[in-house]
Amino acid sequence: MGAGEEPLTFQKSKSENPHDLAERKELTEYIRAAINDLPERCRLIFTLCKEEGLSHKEVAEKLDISTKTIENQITKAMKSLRAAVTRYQSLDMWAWGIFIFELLERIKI
Amino acid sequence: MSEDFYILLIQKQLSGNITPDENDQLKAWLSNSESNQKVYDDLLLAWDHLPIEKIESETDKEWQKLDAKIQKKNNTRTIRMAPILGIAASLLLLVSAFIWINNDKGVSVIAPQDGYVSTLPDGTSITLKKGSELAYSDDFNTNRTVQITGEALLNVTHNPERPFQVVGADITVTVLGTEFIFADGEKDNRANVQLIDGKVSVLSNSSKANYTLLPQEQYLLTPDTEKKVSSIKLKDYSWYQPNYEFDDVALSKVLDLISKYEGIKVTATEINSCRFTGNLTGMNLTQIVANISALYNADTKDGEGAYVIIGGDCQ
Repeated sequence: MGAGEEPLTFQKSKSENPHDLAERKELTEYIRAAINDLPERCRLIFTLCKEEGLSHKEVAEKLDISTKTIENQITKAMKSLRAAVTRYQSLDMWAWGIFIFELLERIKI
Repeated sequence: MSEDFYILLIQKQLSGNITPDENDQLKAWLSNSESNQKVYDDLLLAWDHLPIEKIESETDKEWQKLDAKIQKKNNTRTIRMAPILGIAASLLLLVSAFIWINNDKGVSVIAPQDGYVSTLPDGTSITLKKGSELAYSDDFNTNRTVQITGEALLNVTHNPERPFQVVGADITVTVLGTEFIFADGEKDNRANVQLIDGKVSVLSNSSKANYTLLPQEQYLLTPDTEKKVSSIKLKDYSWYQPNYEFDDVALSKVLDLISKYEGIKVTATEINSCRFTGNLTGMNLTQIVANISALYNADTKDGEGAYVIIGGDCQ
């Protein structure tokens, strides 16, 4: 079967597009900032859950604190992440707004 | 229950630690309102954009330094705007919102570790090998198409009206609702699809040949050949660890599930209706069969690519 004879027609996934890559990176920067802005303890708990894939109970045992505390801190971290996404989205809208505003200004003149 | 409760459930779901009951609760809440769904979508987007490298945990001293810096930065962040400009901008915001809605950003994620699970808006779950890439556009809800470069296990939510498509470098797989391994794009002209459950159609992007797979069949593409094989070998994908944790489940069901994932038939003669509770995750098939046999005082017959558990009782 001549699978190797024809050139590949597959378009590389979206992230290969420099524009998309830039946008993705930008959102990741917002998320990174949001994580960095978390209080140290909250960040540590979130990191343990996220990167080591530990359950809330396992993190509670590891740090010797209650599961309730873990859950409160995780909720707090998740809310910060959501706020970062909202900020990112609204900023994107502002960028368009300012662009159109300037465009209209120019047309008027 | 408050929104906080569901935010926590979303985190559990995204990190793969949710129980079936909690998952049902979350699903019910999501279908309650669009704003609930928006909470989920935002968190999913955030989760998919988490920095890939490890988030370092600073020492207290370094942390205080950073804290001071952030506070300084915050103080200079006040924005003042002439009121008229504010009104004009607000109007433009509406226009830009329209444009923004039509601006397809899509989602793209590279798995930071083996077994990384990404849940799509339709509930489909995709487990990725480290470094494999998954991408889909914002119109995913109307056009269920994802692009994958690398290896993944897909558990696709059934929807006969909207077939689900996976596009890779060499092949395109079309499904309605099913579970299968997809591997394409790590090496040129090599691809593999192994079907666990359901039915899929595999189209070779270059030869345009079409293959229909049934459970326990696989499609194999190498630089020299393209064929359908009537057995699967999920063991080749060691990055994926099936979850074999059971709580009071009929043993026949346990064995069916294990057979499905291991690609080797395991049956029992006497103890099919016994209830099983335990965790067999991480064991190889020989260990699993030995453990089950020992638990029920049964014997094992091994041969011709199948295991039979003979005799035993439920005590």
